Amino acid sequence: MFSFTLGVVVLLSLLSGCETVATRPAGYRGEISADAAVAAATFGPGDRLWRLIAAGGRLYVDASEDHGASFTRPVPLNADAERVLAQAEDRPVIAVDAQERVYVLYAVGTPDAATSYLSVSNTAGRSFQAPVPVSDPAKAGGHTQDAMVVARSGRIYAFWNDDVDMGSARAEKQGAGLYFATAVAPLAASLSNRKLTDGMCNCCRIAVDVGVDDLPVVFGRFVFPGSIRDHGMLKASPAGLVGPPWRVTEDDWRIEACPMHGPALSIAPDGRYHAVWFTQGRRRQGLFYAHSDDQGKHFSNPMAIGEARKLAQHADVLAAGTGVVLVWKEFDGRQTHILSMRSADGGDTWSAPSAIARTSSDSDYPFLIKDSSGIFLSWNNAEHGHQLITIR
Amino acid sequence: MRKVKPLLAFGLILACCANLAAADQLHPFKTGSLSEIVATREGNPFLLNVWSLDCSACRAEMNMLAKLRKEYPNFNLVLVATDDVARSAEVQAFLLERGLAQVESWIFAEPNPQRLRYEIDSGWYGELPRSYFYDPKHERLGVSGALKAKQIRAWMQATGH
Repeated sequence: MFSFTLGVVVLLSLLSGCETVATRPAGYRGEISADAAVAAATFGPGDRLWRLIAAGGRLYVDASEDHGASFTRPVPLNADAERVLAQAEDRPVIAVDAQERVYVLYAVGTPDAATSYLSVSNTAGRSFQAPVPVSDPAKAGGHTQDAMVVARSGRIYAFWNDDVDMGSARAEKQGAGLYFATAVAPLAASLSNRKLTDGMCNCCRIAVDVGVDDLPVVFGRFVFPGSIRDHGMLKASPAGLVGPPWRVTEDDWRIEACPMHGPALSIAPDGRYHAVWFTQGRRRQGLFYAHSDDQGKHFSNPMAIGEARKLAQHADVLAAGTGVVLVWKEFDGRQTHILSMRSADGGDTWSAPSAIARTSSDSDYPFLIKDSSGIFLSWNNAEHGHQLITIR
Repeated sequence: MRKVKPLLAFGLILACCANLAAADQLHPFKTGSLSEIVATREGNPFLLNVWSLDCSACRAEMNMLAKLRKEYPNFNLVLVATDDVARSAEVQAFLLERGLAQVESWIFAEPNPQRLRYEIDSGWYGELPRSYFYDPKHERLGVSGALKAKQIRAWMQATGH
């Protein structure tokens, strides 16, 4: 749906109102499909910015040493044009480990029958190995919402929803399965996968981060009995599930629909879990933030974020040291705004919201990424292309 | 026998074209389209159903709507797909397969879909399916989530469908 140019606008010293705008490298023109859009971005070792670009059914990876002022030539990942799922809740993921191996997880197919593939670059992004399937091949089931993290050990964990064993009608009522696969480089020709749990809402993106014990924690929307679409958490290890999943939010959102509104999770170096989510439940409505100091078992009182009358939605959260940043989207009837709140004390107290970007065009979700210097907004919109905006 | 095959093929092409023509009534939903939909139904109750190919709850609901349409040929139903206009062929094929090709159907056709969602309902976050029950005075009730057939039957009775 999004058709964004690859132009990168870097806004520096935002607080002082000074904007530094870098133009995009001319080399892209005509090399890759005109519908090119940055599907994901992350920082790797040496504060190198990595972008995953979806264009004409193909995926490309490029990198920048200078925060988006210039980029390497995009390297293709899949050999042929495929139907890559690359929008809204359903999108490819890029992750870079400490050795600068670059991993890309993506799904191909229709939302009804898709297969996830993993590709790795052992050459710091100069070339990618042929993608290997991580999920079972496409069947009639719904298969969506790829999520992936690289642990500090270098082990990668991939997660996705699938209703392959129950059919979409049952998954709609009871939730789909959450599947996972894990690997360490070098990758085998194919990966085995397994189901971790049932009861996942199959149209909301899954949030995942690595805890201080180097194990992944998943925060997602579940379908609890009575069609309650509230959130839960689970922890995984290379062997599978660590204990049963547990419920986190008690908003009582009874709905037989696709909220298409997944949560976000960031685990700080001190072990504090920072969570944001959306609900239209009986008990509360809107976007909320909360943190937990006991590995997600108990959370602080949910703090409402944004203005409901401006449809505050699609929030992201990221912790860096004791700093924590929240971003989300609002729409005023004409323009979409990205708002941000900052905390310097690990989420105990927060700044007032400030608007950091806007467009009157179609726009993607806002995402937060970080390097050694701080936290950035990574945002696509049709008007400005991909933007990297400093939040300090 | 040799002559039959091309004829059969021709027949299939004709059938295919006929079906395409029937399903070719997908209107581009733009700024102002909702007012148009409402204006052409002055004094009449109708159900506006907003859906998407990517929404599994919507697909189940579509089967129910198709059944109700057969049962009540006067069921005043308008479908709006939030899929991008580039997916028109897929939407048409889907509606055709479900026997809904004759229902008045629209597809999002503005560069910024958020504007269209806002125009439909400034308090709607985009969850699907989303339905609006319009009464004869065009007071409306918005509902998120898959509808039940009995809900629609009750509304049809209440509004003198």
